[in-house]
Amino acid sequence: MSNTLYAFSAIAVCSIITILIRALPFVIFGNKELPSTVTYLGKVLPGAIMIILVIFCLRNISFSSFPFGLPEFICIGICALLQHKYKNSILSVIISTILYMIIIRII
Amino acid sequence: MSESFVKTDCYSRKKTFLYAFKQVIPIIISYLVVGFAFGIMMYEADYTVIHALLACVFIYSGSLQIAMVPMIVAGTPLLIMALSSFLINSRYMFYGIGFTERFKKQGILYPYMIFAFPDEVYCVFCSNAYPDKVDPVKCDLYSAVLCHLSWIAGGVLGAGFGNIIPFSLEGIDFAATCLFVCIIVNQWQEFKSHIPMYTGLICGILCLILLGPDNFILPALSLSLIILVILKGRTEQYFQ
Repeated sequence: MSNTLYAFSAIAVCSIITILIRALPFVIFGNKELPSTVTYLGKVLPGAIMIILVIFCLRNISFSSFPFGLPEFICIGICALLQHKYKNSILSVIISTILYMIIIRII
Repeated sequence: MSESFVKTDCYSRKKTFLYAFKQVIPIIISYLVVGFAFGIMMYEADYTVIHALLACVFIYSGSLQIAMVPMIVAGTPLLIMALSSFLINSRYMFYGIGFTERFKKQGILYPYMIFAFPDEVYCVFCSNAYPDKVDPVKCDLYSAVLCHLSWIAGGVLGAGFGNIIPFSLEGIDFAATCLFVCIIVNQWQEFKSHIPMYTGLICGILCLILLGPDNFILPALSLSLIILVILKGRTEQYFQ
């Protein structure tokens, strides 16, 4: 029983902290006229954040041992090319993910 | 006011829903599978569907939920859980900047939009070109709800049945990375200045090398923010 209560409390703690983090910018900037720097940041941050998210996805690649992150980089390259050429996210994501799953199974 | 009323009138609910659905299909696939993986972890750690359901509904963060399971199993003190949650999810602090006005349009569902805002949804919301007859406010809501529901469905199925898939799905979470790449490619062509992306690239790689994979993201985001504020004079003209 105490174990069950502990698990529920742990989930509640994770939930509350996550909600507080997500709410923070809205609490700070939500109720007043936005300063021009914040409006500006709202427009430029997405570009930086998205690149950092890709790095975040690839953060555990080891460059010192085989396969040196090659499957990831090859598939990202193909994904970017497909997206550039056909502008169809679903197509690009599905093809490059399947390709990635095949590559990591054969090497 | 009357103008916006007329505008609302010519939106098509069906078109809006279909567009939202099309936008988030890669997220739905990825959330079903990664949510399922989380559910399996809960199942194998002997937790119930209720635990997985609560976590998926009220935490709704893949990286935290997957890190959380072994911590719960080990009986980690709640204060440590709170600290870890903060460290793992601190990046979300940066997501709301620039979305306050947009989410307020949801009215009573404003708090829900603030909550239902993980990485993938954030990225989709950053590329906001709505076709004709698509209601931007409803489209945002449908996208958010569809993603959340697929995350919940994945988690509940995994926790309910365990690993019932007879083949390995290893690598399917790469779909999220590919989705980020697609959105970056779209944005790259749209933006007149690539300073923000280069800033993210340099700060991200620098922090990753200096601080290692577990601690780099918050410093990388903070550093990018500072650099972009410093470069405001040069960059602002491209983002009017």
